[in-house]
Amino acid sequence: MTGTTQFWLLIAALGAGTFLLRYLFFFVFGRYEVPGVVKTILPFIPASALSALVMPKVFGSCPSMATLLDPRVAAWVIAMIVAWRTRNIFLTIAGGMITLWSLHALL
Amino acid sequence: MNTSPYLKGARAMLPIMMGVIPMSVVTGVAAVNCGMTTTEALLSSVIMYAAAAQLVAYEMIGNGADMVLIFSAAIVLNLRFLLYSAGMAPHMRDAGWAKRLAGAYCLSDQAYGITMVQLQKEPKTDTARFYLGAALFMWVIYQCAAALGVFLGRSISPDLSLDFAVPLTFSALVVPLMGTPELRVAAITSAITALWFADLPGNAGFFIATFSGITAGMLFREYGKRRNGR
Repeated sequence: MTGTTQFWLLIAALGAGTFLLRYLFFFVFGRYEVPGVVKTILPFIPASALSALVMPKVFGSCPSMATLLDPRVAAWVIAMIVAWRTRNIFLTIAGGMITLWSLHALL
Repeated sequence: MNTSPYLKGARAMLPIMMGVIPMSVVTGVAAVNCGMTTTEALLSSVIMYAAAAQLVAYEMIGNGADMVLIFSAAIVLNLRFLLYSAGMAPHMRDAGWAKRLAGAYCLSDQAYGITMVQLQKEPKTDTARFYLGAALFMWVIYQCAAALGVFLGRSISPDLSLDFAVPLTFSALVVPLMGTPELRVAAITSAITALWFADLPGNAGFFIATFSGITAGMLFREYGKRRNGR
């Protein structure tokens, strides 16, 4: 799909959409407030969306008991522990990747 | 003594760059992995400038997903910018139109967050300039790191499974977001649902999971409120 008109349309639409979300309140400030419902829902979106993105990439699209032996699962568990203890993106990525590489080298 | 507020903003961002650089490098690698040319990868990074949304979009482009679905998934992730925009707007109302445009375009979780922290520490900060300094500095570093990622993505062998850095980045982003019980309920519900529906076509599982997570979190919040007699 890359290199096509369709691809650039998509990127342009994403750029425009994202910019509008960022610019909206700079533009309308004083005329509108963020509605209460939106304020309530918003914090839940990244927590839910990011978790939904992680799982299939760690466990694959049809997980079974055998999946638990996949090096990616072990590497992810280590990375989650690092993330939880340090709250550091760099250390989390490093912890997960080093575990994955070590397991690949050993197995 | 009188450091420019722009510089103060940029300097405040320095420690956060430890997290921004790897995340941005990963977006560059992901762009290459989904088959984009160097120009496409660099330009889309400048056009979108939103790591999580870019990673989702690249992933779905690689899967050949439908354009409308890709657009929706990325925009859903970017809805949080509405909140930041509302938070920054009062501080930017007296800035000129060019600064407001630049401030909006460069809006990021990190620049917004550091500005709010600074406001708590020093309420008398020249907020508009401090924010612009932080946001523009972050933008420059982000784009350089993305370019580095494109370069790495081209030169590092796929045996190194660099694609795995994407879920790791998301995990690193989601853990600090799970600060309250209702957010934990949302994240865990969404994670389980995503696994359950992982083999649905067109990333439908992503939307179902995100929606279930949000619903579960909000229901849990209501339940908690009622139990506390409110």
